[in-house]
Amino acid sequence: MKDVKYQLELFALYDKDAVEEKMTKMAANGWLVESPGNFLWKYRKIEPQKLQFCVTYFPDASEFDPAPTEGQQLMEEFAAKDGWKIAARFGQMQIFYSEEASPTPIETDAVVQVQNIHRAMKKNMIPTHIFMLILSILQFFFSGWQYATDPIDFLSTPYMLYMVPMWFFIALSAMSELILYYRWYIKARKTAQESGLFLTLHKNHIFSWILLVLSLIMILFIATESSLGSMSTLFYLAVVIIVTLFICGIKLF
Amino acid sequence: MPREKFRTLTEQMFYVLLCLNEECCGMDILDKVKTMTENRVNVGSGTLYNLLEQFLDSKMILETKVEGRKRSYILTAKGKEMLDAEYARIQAQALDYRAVFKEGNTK
Repeated sequence: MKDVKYQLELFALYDKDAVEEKMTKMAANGWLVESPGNFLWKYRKIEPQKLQFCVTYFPDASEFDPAPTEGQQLMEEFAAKDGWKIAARFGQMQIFYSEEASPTPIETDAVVQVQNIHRAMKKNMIPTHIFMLILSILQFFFSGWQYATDPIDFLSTPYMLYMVPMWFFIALSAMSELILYYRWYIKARKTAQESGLFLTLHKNHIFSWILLVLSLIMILFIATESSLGSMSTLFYLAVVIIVTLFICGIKLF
Repeated sequence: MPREKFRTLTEQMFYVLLCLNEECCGMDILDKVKTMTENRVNVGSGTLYNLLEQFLDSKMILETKVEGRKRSYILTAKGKEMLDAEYARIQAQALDYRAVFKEGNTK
């Protein structure tokens, strides 16, 4: 039987409740997260058990840090005092677990919690999606310029045509993520200040992922329609794919 | 409109600042708050870490000692002012409460 497995997970980085719920189910089925990612999460085999999970955010961390920062280590020491162990880290996200039935929560002040999440998102998720949106808009202008200067060539070149819906899907995905995040953040901040409660988010990400998948399908159409002997086309496609994957946060190197 | 930061203190903020009236290291604050409030108030480890960072940035506390990863802090004059303001606010609330419920108003 395998000791590790990989699973596709569709979490938003700030959807801590969905992550905690999933981690609890996985632990009950004998799997503990070892290495989260934007798309694929790595789990390792454990004895099936009931564990409590808590997702916290450390805004000053980065997925490019070679080791946990001193601040992260200090925070983890604080958490260890209340019986929490670190399961995994991914960028600004830290996943803790406890074997106790009712451990002292790591976050007990909703105001501070929401502020912290927002600081973490400002470091990673928000700039990434704004970049995707700007890149998409620039591509639209570029396509528009190409059409304006040579409409016949534009309309007779399939990969140029496929670029338009592809970038449209990417723009729509980035915009929907940003809108959904800010809607949650504004409500969560208000709820925390008025009632001291943390507003949970159970977001349906299917729409965003459908858009992203459609963009990737467009890339495949472009690859099959264009001349495979054309190195410049392949190079351009490789750049598009690498940029798309990079800005989605997957480590490539 | 978002509330101005630290205009009012949450219970967690209040007790962390109160603990730092005397020099104290971060880890000890977790126990100190529980003892002081007879387990009524629990400050989470993540909340404590974030509050200490925020209080340091706002100069409400000062770092006095660093021994490896163990850091000690103490309240500054600004932190004391914030506590005093919060205490005054709580007292005003208590007075209003007594005015409503101790003078025959059954609402």
